[in-house]
Amino acid sequence: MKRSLRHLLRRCSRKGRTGLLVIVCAALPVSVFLTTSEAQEQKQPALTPSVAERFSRETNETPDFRRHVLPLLNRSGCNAAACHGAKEGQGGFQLSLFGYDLEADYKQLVEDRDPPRANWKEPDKSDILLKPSLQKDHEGGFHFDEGDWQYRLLQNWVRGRAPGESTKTAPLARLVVEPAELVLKSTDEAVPLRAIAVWADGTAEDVTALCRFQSNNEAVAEVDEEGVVSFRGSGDTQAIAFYDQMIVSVPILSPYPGNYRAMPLDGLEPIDRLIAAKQEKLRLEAADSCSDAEFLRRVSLDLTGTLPTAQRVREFLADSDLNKRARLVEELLASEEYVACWTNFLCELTGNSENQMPDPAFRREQSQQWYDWIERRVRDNVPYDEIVEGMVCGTSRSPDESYADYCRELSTNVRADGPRSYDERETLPLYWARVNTRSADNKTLSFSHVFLGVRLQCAECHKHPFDRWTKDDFDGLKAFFEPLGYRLSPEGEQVSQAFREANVPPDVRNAQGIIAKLAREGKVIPWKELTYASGSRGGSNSGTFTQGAGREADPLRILMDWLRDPSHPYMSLAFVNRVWAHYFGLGIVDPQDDLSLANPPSNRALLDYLAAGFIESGYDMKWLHRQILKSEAYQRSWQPRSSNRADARNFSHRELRRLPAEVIYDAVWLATANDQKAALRSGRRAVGPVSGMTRSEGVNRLLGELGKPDRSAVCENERSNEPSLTQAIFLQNDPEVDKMISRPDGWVASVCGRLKGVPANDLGQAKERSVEEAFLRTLSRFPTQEEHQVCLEFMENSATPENGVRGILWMLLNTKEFCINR
Amino acid sequence: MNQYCDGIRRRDFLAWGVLGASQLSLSSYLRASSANPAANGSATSGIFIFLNGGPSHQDTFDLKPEAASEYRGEFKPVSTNVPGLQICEHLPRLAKVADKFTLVRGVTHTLGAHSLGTQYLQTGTRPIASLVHPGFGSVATKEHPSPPDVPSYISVDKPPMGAGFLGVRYAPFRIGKLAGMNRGIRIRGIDLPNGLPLDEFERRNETLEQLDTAFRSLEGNHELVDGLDEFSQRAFSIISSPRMREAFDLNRESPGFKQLFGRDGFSQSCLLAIRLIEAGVRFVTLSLGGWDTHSNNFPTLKNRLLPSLDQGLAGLLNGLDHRGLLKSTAVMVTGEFGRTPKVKDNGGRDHYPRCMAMLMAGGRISGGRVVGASDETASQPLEKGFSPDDMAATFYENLGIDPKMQYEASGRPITLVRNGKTVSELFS
Repeated sequence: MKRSLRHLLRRCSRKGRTGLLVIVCAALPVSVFLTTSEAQEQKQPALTPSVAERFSRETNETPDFRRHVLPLLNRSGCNAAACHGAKEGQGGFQLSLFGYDLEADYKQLVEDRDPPRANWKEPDKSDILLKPSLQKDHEGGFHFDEGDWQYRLLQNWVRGRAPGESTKTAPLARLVVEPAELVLKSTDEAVPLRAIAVWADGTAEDVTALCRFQSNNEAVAEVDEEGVVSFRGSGDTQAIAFYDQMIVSVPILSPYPGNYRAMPLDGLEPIDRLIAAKQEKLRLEAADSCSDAEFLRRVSLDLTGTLPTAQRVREFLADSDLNKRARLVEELLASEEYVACWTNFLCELTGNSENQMPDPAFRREQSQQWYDWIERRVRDNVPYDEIVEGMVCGTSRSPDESYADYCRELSTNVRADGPRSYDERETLPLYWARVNTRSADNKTLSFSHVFLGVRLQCAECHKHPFDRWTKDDFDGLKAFFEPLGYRLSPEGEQVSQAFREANVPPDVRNAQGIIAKLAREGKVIPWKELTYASGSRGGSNSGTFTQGAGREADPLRILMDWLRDPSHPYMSLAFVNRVWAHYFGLGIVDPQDDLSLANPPSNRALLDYLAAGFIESGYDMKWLHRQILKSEAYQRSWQPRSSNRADARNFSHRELRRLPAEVIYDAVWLATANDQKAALRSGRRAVGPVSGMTRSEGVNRLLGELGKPDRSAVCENERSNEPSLTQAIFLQNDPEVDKMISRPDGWVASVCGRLKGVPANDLGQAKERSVEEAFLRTLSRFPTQEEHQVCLEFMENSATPENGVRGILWMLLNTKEFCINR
Repeated sequence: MNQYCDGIRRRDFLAWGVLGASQLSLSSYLRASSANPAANGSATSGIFIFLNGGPSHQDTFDLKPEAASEYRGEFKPVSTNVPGLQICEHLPRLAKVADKFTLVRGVTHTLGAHSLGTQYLQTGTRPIASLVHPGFGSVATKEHPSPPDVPSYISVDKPPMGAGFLGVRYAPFRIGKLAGMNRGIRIRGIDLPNGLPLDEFERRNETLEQLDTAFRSLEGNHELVDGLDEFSQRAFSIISSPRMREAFDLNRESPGFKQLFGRDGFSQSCLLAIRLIEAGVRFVTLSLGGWDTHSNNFPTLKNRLLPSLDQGLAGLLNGLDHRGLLKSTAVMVTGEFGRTPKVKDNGGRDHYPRCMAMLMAGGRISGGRVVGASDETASQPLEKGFSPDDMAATFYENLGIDPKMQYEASGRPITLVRNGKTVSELFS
């Protein structure tokens, strides 16, 4: 199973370079791993000084369109959305948004109208000189004066007959920004950054004056237009430099004031070492370790989506084994709740939504099949890359499977009394068959969002402002999906027609319903299938259909190989970052689905370690869980120290989070169940099969209102764990919760039954015991003495013992502590 | 015994704290949330009525009596209390209040599927798979929330559009469909469960305050902890305050006022909507479904839908006016599309987004007018027509919300209504 990095490399280099592969490489050429420090190791060639210097006085130099002119316009904000980058341009002058379309931009400047905006016949009458210097009216305001270097640069370009992009211009090889990392003191007011562009021919130039700069958090540091950094507050962020299509980030660290006790780094596991190393730079102390009770509740909620039972809390707290936390992790990893929780995680990530299933009559079944397919793999701990492969390279039938066999198998699977064997299929073609990914655009968005953690929405129409993706890149990737569709093949078409003629009366409106009914009764019906049409675009009757074509020629397989290529491990990065975010409430890259150059990780070394380790482990998901859960970082207390209170990016203390919708629902169910029920966990769990419990419309709706996504958006993280009125009213006063508290097989009923039989002089102790029990099942801890007292008083003042017990359980369900994972 | 008299309660200090943070004094907060038109005359509350299924425009508000019979259908126009303005003969009550609403004809778009049309009409943005836009009520109540003991946004029955990228915090509080007059309403989550007296609920809450102390060190300075407190306080106020219970109790309404409405569920919902707005709820979404008349269009409309719409909507407009709420309440009534100009053999009409009609009232809408027009067979707008984007922009404008304001979603700036232009004729 284990697949070493070297093996992966060999596999990829063995592959013939097909045309498509070239497209992919061109489409997604970046390695997130290309850090500035790596780039700097290469030797610096002779350096051309900055344009700001060269053009500060009269010169004969004609600047280059791509290297100088466009970056200057870009930096001045000319192609921003509010200015000439707007859809209709501004004042008739239109530049491509965020500048990627060199040809169109050049035309606008030189050819679009007479006289052109860059008027080389009468250079000094050029609008690109007169407008930004306000010698002519300019809604966009003043940018530079006659005599400024910017003015002279543009002027010389126009005077030099405004040359366009030359084929002789070497492409930009890299952009180096110095320093590679910046530690700021509170007195630092003006630390300059320097940006050097290195072209493929080895020439290099100081382009600081042509870069656009930004700070990712102005409360920490400001970066002005010239790339000068000033301290604003403690914390850490990045300065981002944009030039041509390169984006480079420089970590900025402003250490926290106050006491700092250094932690010894020796003996720490990699995760903790990498986190501690950064904390040390920031003089950021870590919180203490959480208590055993907190750990048990936390890891149960995070890893299995459910509360521990009261019994389990007692056992765990009584256990004196020093290694009990690690043992607990192993125990939970082997549980069915783990399988349900992570099947749910993957179903949500990949968009398993009942209302997006392709065959309207079988939506529920297909969504269940999707769940089953994933569930089996999570249970068997199938490597993540193989699960991805099953989706990306989904095929409806293997090359040697006939259409008739295929239809028989699928029909059997939807038969009312049929076996559920869909999970045995090698692949999951439903991923590409969804209604919301019918178009190639949406397939592209879904693919990049799910598997790469990259948001390509911007590049669907224009250059991505914070990454290097352009519309051409988007289209290059999209080309893979154009021919892919879930439809009837020509053979299927014939079979389907014959089937209809034989089984469906003519002029029936609901033919689909009739056919579905026949299938449920055991008849074999025709099915659509995922096919790849080569030749013309899509359409069920056009082109040649290839079914599981030769592996080498299969474009989706090429894409899969690309995903596995360790030189740009997006697949691993995106996944480990998402899992990290699941455990810590925030990704190492945050937002978790926005891996982009201008949104770098808060701790690159940590992310790199996890991503490489995950690949090294053979994409073993349990390896990843263990690494994280056994770390000190995961086991920290939520109680901040004064020195780390403000920190939210360096995992110095636990972030509090509201329980997700399904988890709250299950937690209420479990907390209110009697001991036997709780031990069996036989309830209708919300963390589980998508439609297992959602037959109850009321509960389904409630979960939605608590923030459960319906998984219909192709590239958005839809889950919401925000507090809301519905959630508060749900816990305080929903009939569903009241029903759970009052049910005959519930805990309240069993305690009240017990209290009735207790002799009067033992009653006090019995009541104490039930208070304790209530705390264990809701907050997974023993009550403090004070809380004990408050509850006993409440019981005393209650009209009946039942009122008391019920009230106490209700109150505990309504503490913030109950619905917070701490 | 209730020692509190609608005054300061558990956690109230926190709620005030929250208000303080947004620089609003209590008095200005209450003033801002009272039911008066804003200074510029735009509304402070809203009611959106969705006619699910897509009503045929040519059989309701855009009749074509001169067209050939296969187009004009079975219904005749009837004159209204506004000279020159005609609507369908089966809407007689609405005909008497035509001075209170404005019709918009010649609204046009291209999305002929129910779910897409529904999303489009209620967001003013053509649906895209990558981002779900919020419905009117969520936006309206994010911008103008209600006082603390009242839910900001209530949807009767399933809201046709959720809070989208704004998140569940701005989703409506949803109540069940109303059955009809005197059938009682059970409001899930607001009525206390059987047998639990209010003072017991309050006793629990008092003790809860002593128990809910785990995160005290973070209170006042922590988004999640304070958010949970804020909503928990709201929930408590809503459940325990008489204000909402009374608003939901339609029996408290005077018999004379009740007579403005019909007996069916829709009419009763319209009556409820007025009471809710009066109680301080900022936005109410109602729906009347069944307009998807692929067959038997005319009997369905004549016998069921038109009488229902007529009674409910006329009651709503009259009622709002009687209570002095029409100027402060923006009303919009629409389906997801119109229906095909030509009647089919089975007497039905199919989906037809290219031409439709809608109704607006309240706030700055002057009433008694028709804006826009369709051609002689109601097949397309006479001129350019209006897009759902335009209509959404207009509705927002009427609600005092700038349709060009920006939210952030998925890290991108998102303009509330990107492509629409306010139809200013509606306000003149």
